[in-house]
Amino acid sequence: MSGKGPLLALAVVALCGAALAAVGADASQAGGPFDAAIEKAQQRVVKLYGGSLGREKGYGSGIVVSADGKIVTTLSILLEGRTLRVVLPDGRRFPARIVARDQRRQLALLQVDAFELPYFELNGSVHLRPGDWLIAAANPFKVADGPEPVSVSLGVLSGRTSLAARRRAQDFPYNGPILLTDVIVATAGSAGGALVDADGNLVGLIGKAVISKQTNTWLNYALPVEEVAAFVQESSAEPGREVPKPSPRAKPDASRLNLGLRLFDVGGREPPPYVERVRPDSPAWHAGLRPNDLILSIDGQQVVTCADFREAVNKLRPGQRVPLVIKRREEVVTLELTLEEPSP
Amino acid sequence: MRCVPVSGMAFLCNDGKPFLRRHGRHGRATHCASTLRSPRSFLAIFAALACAPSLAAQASDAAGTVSQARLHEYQQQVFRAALRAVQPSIVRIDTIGGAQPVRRASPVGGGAAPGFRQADGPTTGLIWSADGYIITSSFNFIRDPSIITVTLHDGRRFVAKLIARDRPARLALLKIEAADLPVPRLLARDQLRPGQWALAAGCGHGSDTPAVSVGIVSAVDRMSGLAVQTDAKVSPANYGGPLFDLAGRVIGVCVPMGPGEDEIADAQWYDSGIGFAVDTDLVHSRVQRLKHGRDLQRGLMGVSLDTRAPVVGLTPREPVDQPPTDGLRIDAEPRGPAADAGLREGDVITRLDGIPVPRLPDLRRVLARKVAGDLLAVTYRRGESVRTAMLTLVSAEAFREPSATQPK
Repeated sequence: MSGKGPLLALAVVALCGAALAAVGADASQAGGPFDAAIEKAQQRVVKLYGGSLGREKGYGSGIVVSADGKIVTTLSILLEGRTLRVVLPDGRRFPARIVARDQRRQLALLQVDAFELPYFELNGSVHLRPGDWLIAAANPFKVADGPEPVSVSLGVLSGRTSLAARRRAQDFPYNGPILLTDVIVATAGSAGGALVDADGNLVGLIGKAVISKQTNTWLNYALPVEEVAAFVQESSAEPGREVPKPSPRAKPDASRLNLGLRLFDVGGREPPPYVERVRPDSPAWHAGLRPNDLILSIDGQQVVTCADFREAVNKLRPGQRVPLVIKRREEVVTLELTLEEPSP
Repeated sequence: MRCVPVSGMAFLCNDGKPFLRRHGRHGRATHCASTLRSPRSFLAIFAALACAPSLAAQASDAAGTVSQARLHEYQQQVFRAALRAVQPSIVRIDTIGGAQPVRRASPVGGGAAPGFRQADGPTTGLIWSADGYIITSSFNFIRDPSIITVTLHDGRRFVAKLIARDRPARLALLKIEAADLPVPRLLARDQLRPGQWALAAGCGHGSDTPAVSVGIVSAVDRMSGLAVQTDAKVSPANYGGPLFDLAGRVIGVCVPMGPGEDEIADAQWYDSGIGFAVDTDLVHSRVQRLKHGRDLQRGLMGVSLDTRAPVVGLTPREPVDQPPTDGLRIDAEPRGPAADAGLREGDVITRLDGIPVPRLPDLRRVLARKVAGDLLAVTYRRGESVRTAMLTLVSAEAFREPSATQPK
């Protein structure tokens, strides 16, 4: 991302300029429609400084989630340095200690000895629709120095999806729901910052910069506030909690539900689920599946690879009747598959 | 909450640039412009047309104007409505099989040329005709997939046939066997202006509804006139999807364009605030040709032109003759169509299809909208005489040296 940084930064500035000019031209000279939201967000986002290693920067952002100094940020190398310093929005500097880590969500809960801080309520993000305004408040490229308020950028909620991403060559452990935005937040130092709605309510925490497996692009996203709330709650119930990384998925057991079906799974990177063999009188046979069919979806869930198919099948229960969409020559055919009860 | 009445929006958006203060200009926009010159009256119209009654009552004063602090709420509703209007025409494309192309070696350094890998996720297309033609970007088929499926907004899924690709405009045409598909409303090129709102949407992130990005039209006539430029985020997540206005009318089809020679290199400009969409006029004319099933290639004349005119910031290595000011001088013996049409080294090309081409960008603009196989009228000056020749543009293939098959 190193070469891209300045370009992205320029883009952020350009977008804000355009959007604010658009709103500002007619809306008001005395104050913009987002003044209150921006002030609220800036009072609740902190700057973090810590260790650095190679390309991993030693700075970042965090959000205040309690009046007595609890801060949530993303896991990163900057937390692992000898010192971890927090600069509050009012300019005061505090050493911070790590209270809890969540390897799955890639979040950390920090504590500073400060009181009566303005903090974000951890409510919800479900009220947002694609196209709704969002404001990112964070410290990309640590351009906000000392007590300066963090940078704010304007954009919209693009949509929601679940994360399938990688960082460097590794799969990113979090694969839960995310908010997508068109604010460029995949920038150094933005992770841990706040994504707020037009009223300044926290709706998400800007996630670590990752590359989407779906698009091969840097992803501009945030963890929904609901995930942040769950993390804070779990950590408070059990201080010192360390949620380990989920173990690499065990190879799903396709034989658990016996479909009577073998896929043309010759290995290779990601083989598509072509049917190689169907056992006569099996559930697959009765559904009408035949060799050389390509399975497109099962129970409404799209499957692209053999692994997808196995995973989808393992979510089904014996006795269930599910639609199965296949491609046979140039036709898309919908079949119905009835899963048999497992034999004793 | 009631839906924003999209038909009402059309009036507003004929004018296009609702939030930016604008200057009355020529043409059809003028009557709107005069109405909208005052922010107060604009807000009143906006409230009357675009808002749910309850919200309007809450946020309007006695005079019926919108409280400025709530303006963004109405904007949000308009964005939502715009997406709703275009959404039925947006399709999700899934591809199966195929391989990443092997990148050409870079001419300098010998390493692989910088490239962008197309990912495994879904991509986006736009219904172009009710009988099943889908326009999308050629970027989505870099791997030459063996199977392409199209999923409609209503959930129906079809196997699609890739009819042809348009290499210069980075478009591709698909066909599915379906009828009565929802065709989007289109916005003609002459109705576009820099500054008007523009939204991009696409299925690339795999979400249930297309992911949307909001921006404005940055320029109408970029890339030698092939594309509209926008600061809405354009990326593999929405290549092939629509760029549309606040009424959900399609401005263009998002494509990767940039300084590179192909869609792979140009994808590197994704999400930069510099995005491109092929305008609907050009899409329309290209679809007519793509339907014949042949890929469209850049059309070449077979001339090498004197481009030694001084360039700002570059010092010429050798003394430059004063270049002709009314045309472009051919500086090497022409080949291919130009040679066949009788052009020679030293001729000065003054017009293409009757359009003056005093400089290279002028020539590029004429050629950009043409493809290999098109006829071109070349007017040139030789000495004192001015002549016009007709030639048929050819693709780069035609100039490939046969030496590859010949022993050296």
